[in-house]
Amino acid sequence: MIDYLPTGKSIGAMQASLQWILTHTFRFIGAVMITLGEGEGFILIKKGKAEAYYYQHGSKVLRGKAAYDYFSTQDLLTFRLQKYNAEEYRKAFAFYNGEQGSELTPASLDADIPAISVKPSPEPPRSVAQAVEQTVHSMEPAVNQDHESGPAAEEPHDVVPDVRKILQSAEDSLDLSPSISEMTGKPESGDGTAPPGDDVGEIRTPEETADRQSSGAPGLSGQQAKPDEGDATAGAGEEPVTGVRQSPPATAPGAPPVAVDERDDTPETAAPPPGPHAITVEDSEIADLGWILRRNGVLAASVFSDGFSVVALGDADFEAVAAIAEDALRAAESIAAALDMGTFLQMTVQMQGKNVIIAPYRDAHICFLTSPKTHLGQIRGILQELSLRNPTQAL
Amino acid sequence: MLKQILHKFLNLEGVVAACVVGDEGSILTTAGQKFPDFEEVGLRVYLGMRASKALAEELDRDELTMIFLEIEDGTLLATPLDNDHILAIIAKNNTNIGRIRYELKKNRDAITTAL
Repeated sequence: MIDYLPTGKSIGAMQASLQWILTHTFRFIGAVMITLGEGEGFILIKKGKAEAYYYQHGSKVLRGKAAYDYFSTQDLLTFRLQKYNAEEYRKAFAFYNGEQGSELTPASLDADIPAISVKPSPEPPRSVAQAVEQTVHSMEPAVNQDHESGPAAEEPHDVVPDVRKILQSAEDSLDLSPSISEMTGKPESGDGTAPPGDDVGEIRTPEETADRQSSGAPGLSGQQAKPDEGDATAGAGEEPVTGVRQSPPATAPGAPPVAVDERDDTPETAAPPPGPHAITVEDSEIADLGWILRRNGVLAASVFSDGFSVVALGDADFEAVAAIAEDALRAAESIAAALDMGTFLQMTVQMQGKNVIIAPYRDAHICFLTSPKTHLGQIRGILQELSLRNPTQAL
Repeated sequence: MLKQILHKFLNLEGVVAACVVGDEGSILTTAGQKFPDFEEVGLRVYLGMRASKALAEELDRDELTMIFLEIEDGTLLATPLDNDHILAIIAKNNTNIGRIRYELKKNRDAITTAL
């Protein structure tokens, strides 16, 4: 399956924990291609939201929560970041859903996936929030039914978070102010990086399916005529969750649809403003950090500026380290000035358990941690090679 | 006694000065080249050591062993002797750093005793 994913644009390879990946991809759209043991997998991430987890080792395949759980057990994941444009992401996500729900071929994904038509309901909702709440109530029994009857029920599966996750995605796409928890009175799943209940593609209402089939709407349901024999939860003609996510149904006759049209070509400006630590760095900086991280003995690396970590890779909390490193850096620069022996090149702080190296990098500074066995010659070599990668920098 | 030990470092190729920095960055004793602003160097080494200790504390409460500073035309090595004193060695570029580190470790106790 992985071979069929869009190639996208490779922006580097590195190592980090799953938690780090999920909390440092605010603006990333694409696939995190993971190599783990003799298997490989991926996570599809769209602006901080991990929307699909997949791992395959030989004939064994883990999806959704199972893959998430497996990735979570690893201290470090070796991965490549493949940046997607909207179309590539749409294809990758559709293929992920199609692969689990039917025998989609990559070629079939070239067709557009239309949003589900809106199904009327007896009482018009007064607000979007109410509509979403109605959707929660209407979906839960159906989902539970799926959960109990299908083979997927063998896996741990908390359906309510799944529903909430779908709705949360819809809510995010519209920037609706009331949260799901406010609407349903149920606790939210957390920080947006919570594990998936399972593959979202398994959640759909029978009404939607019937409506979809009877309307003869084109799209995946029409294309995936052959049900996947290995997955009873995905029947023939059923709509993968991409449709559900694109348009949570409004239930009011004649009422304007509660259109949650999560188009992938949403302009960048529509994205929520990045948090204080959102990645807004150049791809090449990430690539450089990834390169450093692959050097023998390097544990973690960060680019920092004015005491704040701009981007970091590896297993270290650079938020706190960057502020202190800035103090050490200023002292080092003033030592160089006081000695009148030229400009500051680099500082290595040796400890019992590790080394910390601080050096100028472009218009900021770089800080990386190495094991104590990494000697000064290796560190100098890393910095020299880094300067060759960045000829204009003052290393 | 302390000065004699510091002079041992000057015998190493490339080493131009050695000094012991005391509490709050004051220079206790020096050997070798007299830098015009040695007091400033002492203060900055003290501040650098303090920041580095904080860095070590932040990183798993590790113990700081040495600071190595590479400058365009020189190198500075600094190591804490005890809670209040720092030994700093200033050398030219292309000095055998490993040799200086070896001598630092070898003479650390003697310097501490002489303080």
